[in-house]
Amino acid sequence: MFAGVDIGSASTKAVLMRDSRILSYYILGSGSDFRKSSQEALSEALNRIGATVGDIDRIITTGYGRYITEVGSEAVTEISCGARGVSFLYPEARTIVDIGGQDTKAIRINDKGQVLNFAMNDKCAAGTGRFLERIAVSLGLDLDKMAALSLKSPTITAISSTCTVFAETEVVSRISGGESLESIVRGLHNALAGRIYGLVLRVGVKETVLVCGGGALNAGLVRELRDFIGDVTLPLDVDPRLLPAIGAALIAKERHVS
Amino acid sequence: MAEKKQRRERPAFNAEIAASIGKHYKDLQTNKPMAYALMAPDPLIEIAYAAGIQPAFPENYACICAARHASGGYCESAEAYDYSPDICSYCRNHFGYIYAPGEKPPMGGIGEPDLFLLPTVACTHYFKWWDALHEIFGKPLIFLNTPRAMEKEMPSYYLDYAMKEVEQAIADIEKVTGTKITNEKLSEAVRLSDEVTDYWQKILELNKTVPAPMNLSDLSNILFILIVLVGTQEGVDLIKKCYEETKQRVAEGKGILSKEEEKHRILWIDIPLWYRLGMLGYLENHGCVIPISDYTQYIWGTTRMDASKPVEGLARKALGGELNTSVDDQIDKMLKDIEEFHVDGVIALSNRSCRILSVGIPDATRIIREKFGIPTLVLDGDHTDERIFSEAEVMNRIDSFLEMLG
Repeated sequence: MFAGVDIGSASTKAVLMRDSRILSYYILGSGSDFRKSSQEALSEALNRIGATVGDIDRIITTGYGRYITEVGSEAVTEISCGARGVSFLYPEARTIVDIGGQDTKAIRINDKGQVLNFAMNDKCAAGTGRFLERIAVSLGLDLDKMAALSLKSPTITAISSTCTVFAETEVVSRISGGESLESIVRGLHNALAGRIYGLVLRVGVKETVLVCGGGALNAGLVRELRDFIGDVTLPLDVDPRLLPAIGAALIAKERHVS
Repeated sequence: MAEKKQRRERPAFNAEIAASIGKHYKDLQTNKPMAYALMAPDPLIEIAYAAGIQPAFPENYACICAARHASGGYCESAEAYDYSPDICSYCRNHFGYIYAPGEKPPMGGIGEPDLFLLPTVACTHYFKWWDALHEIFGKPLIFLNTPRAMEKEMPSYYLDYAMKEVEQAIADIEKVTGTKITNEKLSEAVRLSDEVTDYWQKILELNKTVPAPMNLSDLSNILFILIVLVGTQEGVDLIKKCYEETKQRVAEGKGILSKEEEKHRILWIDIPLWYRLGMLGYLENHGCVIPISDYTQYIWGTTRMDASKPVEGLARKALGGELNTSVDDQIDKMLKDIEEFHVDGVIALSNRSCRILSVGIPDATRIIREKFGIPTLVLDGDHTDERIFSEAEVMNRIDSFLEMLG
């Protein structure tokens, strides 16, 4: 049995696989203690199938916390793991858009799942999931409610600021100006999608485009992304946050065999 | 990311250059007249030495401040005086130093100038930076204007114009300092400068060898000679030692990494991250060496000069160099050198402070990928202002790039 543990800035994901089949997985918030969250995610994934750490042949860790963990000593970046996981489940994918909490990544891969090029948002959080999370908090809404409001709106209020903090101020100003909350929220999703699209253009849009990461769970964002990119594919049979952890488990198996 | 530091044998010339840098900054406190000059392929440096003027380089000082992790504070001070964060961090470092040098500025500081030497070669912000300093210190400013050369073949009137500008600058310096710059003195400075260029070009050629005898940090150290000591015997003596040692290393097959260790040869585009040169050690530990960068390869020491025609030679120097050519020309040079230096990966710094070197990066990396199929990585950052460097994010990109290299 092989394990992939993806310790991201927002959530930690553990996946257990055997014979290229997912046996179990667990997702929890990363919090501030990556050691604890990675151990907990792996333990919970093991508990679900009544297994123990001793049943695991090899573990690969990935994500920002890949070095800050005691569950495994082999680390691979989430770029390589994400590419491996996507190409395993969606071999037709050539462009990956992974929208995470701290990072958004656009990755071009070939038919073997090898990374040809990648681009990430710079250190500003405005192109990531954190953008919507921050504003959701200031509006007193949760992300699901935000997405639902966005989908209701036929209009888009332009949010011009490229800074998350300034965008919050701009939202308040738009509300004070009497614009509808639905239109403002759609404007926020549209602004984020626009930034993500800019990132995707840096690696080039090549079909099939697969959108994953926590952002893929946001229907409001996905609609706006489709307006920019065109047709995009979403992981339907697996949680879109799991792909790098799946890739990590697959790499663990490949390394073990070789 | 977390790993043990490996100690490798560096070229011994680095210690001699460090000593020369120390001497230079001591000289700035005593040698008069002293002029602020710029890190361009600037003919005013040879003229200054011919006139007995001690040049000082605020940009070089910014590199040193960055390496000593003092730049963030100086940039912050400059911003407190309303200098925008969008201004080049070399400038902000300098203004911060001027307004709030602190009790112990790196190298004891850079001293107060007696005049300013201003070329229009290279960066577009030079003019306003020196204009502001001219206001602050109230000292004379000598200005040498040369045209931008967008095509490989320059019209002949460009050279005529640049030569007139060099002649005018000589006359202006003579007037300001009261020193006659004889043809003999000028020819001697040009001869010495050309000798430095000759050694430099041979050194760059040697770095095509596998394993590379020098890494980017070694090349950047030698640049001190190309920038600060051109036109001096000290510069010639020092670069000659660099050349001889490098030649010896090549003859002995001695590289920064051994032939077995050297797995990848990287082209670096743009200015190094002066506060984070340790990143090169991390790359070395993963079998990567950087034997070439556009910054070290194409800006200084690109133009040979005929000492018997010093004015023409200096004019040609001002018109040459990557900062005075088109993006197409820059990319063509890189494409040629990728083959000659056996490069199999590219790291580019999209440098917030240096748009002139960064603007061509998207095209350069795309064309390189298409032509050679090698991985390219673009980092976002700033060469001097450490405050916008994000260790975790940059190293994550570097790790991904290393995985792409295989």
